[in-house]
Amino acid sequence: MKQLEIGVSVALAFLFLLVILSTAHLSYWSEATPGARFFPLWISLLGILLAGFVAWLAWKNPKQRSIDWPDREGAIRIGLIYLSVWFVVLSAPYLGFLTSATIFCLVFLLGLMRARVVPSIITTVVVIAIVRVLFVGVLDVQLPTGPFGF
Amino acid sequence: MDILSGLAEGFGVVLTFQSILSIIIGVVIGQIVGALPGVGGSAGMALLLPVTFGMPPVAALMLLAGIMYGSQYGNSLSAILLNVPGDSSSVVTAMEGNKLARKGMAGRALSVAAVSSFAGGIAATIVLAIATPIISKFALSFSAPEYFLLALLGITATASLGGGSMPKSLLAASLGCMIALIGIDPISGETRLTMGVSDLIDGIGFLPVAIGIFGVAEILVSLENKIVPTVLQARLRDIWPRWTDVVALRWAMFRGWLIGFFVGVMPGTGPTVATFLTYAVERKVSKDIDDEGSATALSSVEASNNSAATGAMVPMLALGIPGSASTAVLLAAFILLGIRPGPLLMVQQSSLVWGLIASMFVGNVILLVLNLPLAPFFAALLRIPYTYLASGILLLSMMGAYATTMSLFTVGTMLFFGGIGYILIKAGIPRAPIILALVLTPIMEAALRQSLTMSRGSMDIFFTRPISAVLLLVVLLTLLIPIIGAVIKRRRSIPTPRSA
Repeated sequence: MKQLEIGVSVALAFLFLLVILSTAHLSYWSEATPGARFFPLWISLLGILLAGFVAWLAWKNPKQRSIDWPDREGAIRIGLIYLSVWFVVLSAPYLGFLTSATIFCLVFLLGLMRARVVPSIITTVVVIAIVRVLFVGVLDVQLPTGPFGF
Repeated sequence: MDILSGLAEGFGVVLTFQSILSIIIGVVIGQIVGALPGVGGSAGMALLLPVTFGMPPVAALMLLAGIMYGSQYGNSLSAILLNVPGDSSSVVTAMEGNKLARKGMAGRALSVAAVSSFAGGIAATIVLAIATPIISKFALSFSAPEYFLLALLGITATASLGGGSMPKSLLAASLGCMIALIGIDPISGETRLTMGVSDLIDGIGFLPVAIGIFGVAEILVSLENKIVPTVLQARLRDIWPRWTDVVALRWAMFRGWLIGFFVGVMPGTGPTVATFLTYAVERKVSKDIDDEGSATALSSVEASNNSAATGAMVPMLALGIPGSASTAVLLAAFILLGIRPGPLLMVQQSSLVWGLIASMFVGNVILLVLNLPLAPFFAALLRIPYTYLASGILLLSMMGAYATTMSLFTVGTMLFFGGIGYILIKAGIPRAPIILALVLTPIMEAALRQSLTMSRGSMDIFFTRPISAVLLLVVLLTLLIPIIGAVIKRRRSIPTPRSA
């Protein structure tokens, strides 16, 4: 827990530092009005202080709270699920959103979660139908289409 | 009299086919998302927000509010029947209600939870109807400095009273502020923090962040383990409420409502803090709480969490300051639907506000009527393996994000924040302050810059105006109280030479 808390705090401190650097070209104050840099600068300084404080507290804390990490199999599954949702985003412009979503559903249920075949196919059909009817039919959302026209 | 005429106006808005349908859909969805472990009211509202874009604003807000308080009813189902809290506000319900269910009293536990939620919700809505116009009228005299401090109070109170570590909450809020600052500066027109990415010029929307860090992150955590839930049976005839129970538990409901409402009104607290406080009070007051499960404790905490969810609407409707993650999503819905929240809302959109309040009376009645006979149906829903539901929820999350901008970049942003949310859960960093800061930062920055322009750069403006000075004092108190509490706790834990 200690390492993760310190790691997250340090990452956030770097993020706030990046904000300070990337807003350097903006005006801090113009005539009688605070400029575009005013608020980000103060928030970043506060963020760096807080990140340092959280890291220090984690370092000093003698009581280690254990993290509820998944086991190896669970961690691999979560990693693959996260990659598979990214697959939908990255492949949708080429395959079409509904095609990518169908592949995702089947891979997720059959490949990653080892669910039974028939319920997985039924779930995929129902989910894709809901997305199609609700978002495309009712809300008129224009989804990226692929070579199959959907 | 103003309140009665306002309520009459509100019921005039509510008692139409479209409004009633919106409320029914909202509360049913609320019950479902509340019952499903790992979804919860805030994520459910964020997920469904894009679906409301084509609806009239009043109907859309009634639907979303229905999800908010409907989820409080739904939470109790999974808590009692599965011993899995739908969200953190039903942890105590799981502790007490599941013990009753294991003793063969699942039906009675569900009935007590539903009736108590109803009583807490209706009583809290009455106070909401009375308090909102009064606070709103008072807040009409507020100017930029007061708005800055109110928004700041929303964040510091969340950090201070939210129940977790204050430094971590403030750090999370700083991250939320930073996300909100990405895009074009509304005053100077300069672009900030876009890193040259043209898709970021319009900023990062509220929805992809909210869906990502609440919805996707929770689903990822839920999918870590393949657990087959054991759902306890509840017979329909046991579910009907008994008058003897209602009479016996009336004071427990009253205490739950009272504590829940006042905790809920305070920015940053919400139903979770309310239920734990109510439980602590109930354990001291009631004599029949033991380790076997108590209907009294269950009744009190269920009245409390629904009352707190309603109480959080007071600062949101009267001041435009959300007090919880759910009300932050509702506030975002106001903005996305083109309605400017704040004290003027009561004047400019009175029929909308009163309609929303009246819808909560109707919604609670619908929930009670639906909750009891449909409990076996919701219990059956809990038997569907989460795996099948998760694929649908993940796809709906992606569609929800896509529908806001019609861009896959937004879906990618949502997934990115899903990953961030997962890490934050593991690191024990609360996510609600990020959402609150995301909503409050534009208000806070604009008000701070206006205040400093008014005072020509002097900070005196925050001390010299009476209301500002009081608000500043309250902000400082929210920061100091946990520090003082920690110092006292530390001193008590150091053994004195005599005790050693």
